[in-house]
Amino acid sequence: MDSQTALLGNELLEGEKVRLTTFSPSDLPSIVEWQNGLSKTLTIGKKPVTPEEWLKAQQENANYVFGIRLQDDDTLIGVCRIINVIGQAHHGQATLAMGHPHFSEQSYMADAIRAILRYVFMDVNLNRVYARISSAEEITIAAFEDAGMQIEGRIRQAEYQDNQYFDTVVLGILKREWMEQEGY
Amino acid sequence: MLHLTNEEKTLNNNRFEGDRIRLSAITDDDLPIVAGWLSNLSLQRLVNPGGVALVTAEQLFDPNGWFAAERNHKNAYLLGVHTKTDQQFIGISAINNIDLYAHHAEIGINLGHPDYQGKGYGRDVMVTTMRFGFEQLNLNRIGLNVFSYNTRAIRLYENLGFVHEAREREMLYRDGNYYDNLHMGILRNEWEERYG
Repeated sequence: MDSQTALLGNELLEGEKVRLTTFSPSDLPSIVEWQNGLSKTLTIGKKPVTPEEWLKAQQENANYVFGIRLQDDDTLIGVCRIINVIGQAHHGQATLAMGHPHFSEQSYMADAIRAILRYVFMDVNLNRVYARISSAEEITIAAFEDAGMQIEGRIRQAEYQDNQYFDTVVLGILKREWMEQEGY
Repeated sequence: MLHLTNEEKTLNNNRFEGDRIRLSAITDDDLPIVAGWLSNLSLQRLVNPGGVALVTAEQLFDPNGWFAAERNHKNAYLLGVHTKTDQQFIGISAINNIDLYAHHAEIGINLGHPDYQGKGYGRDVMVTTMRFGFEQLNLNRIGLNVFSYNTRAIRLYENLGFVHEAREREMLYRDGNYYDNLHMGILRNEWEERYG
């Protein structure tokens, strides 16, 4: 790049409909509303937890934690994280949790994932981002694929839910693939 | 049905024995030996996904350190491997990430003693640990991950019946190049077909 090129600023964390922002204890009321609005029990793994516990768990052992907000009105719709970064190996794992009853569709998911990939490749400078998602979560997997991640395999019967086994689907994207995809 | 004497039941002979090796707990006497093995950086690079680190026996003894955490982890078994003939401590067999809901776990073995490598002990340790996992821990699946440059181990796992399931590309960085992390697994029905 020559010296005339403008560096990315806030665009690092902007999607098309969502932006990545802070996620902090002040967001607790939103989490409470998610549980009520979706009439869904919050869990960590299989265990039901309180909104406070859920919020705290998002921050623990994570390298980067973002709240996903609608650009229009800043409504918090999910949490996107990078965890398990090994600096020496230049890789990290992406996780995504959507909570808002009205804004959990695939397009919002993919938008958020694209934004976090831009941040992680252009600023943090990782070489690889991966995800490990239960095959039960077909829409989430499709969203990660929309964002450019490729399925690298399935760890068979590594998950159990609803009285049956599912696989852990492994997805990954390399920085050079992302750069090409984005037209750099 | 296998009829055991009371003494045999107490000693759990059959469940932890292979042809030439026995699995048991790791004792404090073993720790300096483990530190010696881990000081071999080539060995470290076969099992450690990140960068190499210098290891001392003190670190392994440290009750707040990483090794103690692994040894005492409630979802893992860290086992020592001894030869049956002369009780030589030759390596470690780990059963990690035991998932009690999906009934699966990961195996990782580490034959650190240089005199016992390349002689078929790896196979013995793997089969004994797998048998323990399926027949005692009631696992439905045993998985492992192995680095793409560890060709000897990959061949062993293929021979044992592990199926290639996923290839995490450029997961590892070594000497200026990236290498892949391979996931392999064997399911209970596959184990029973092969070894039952």
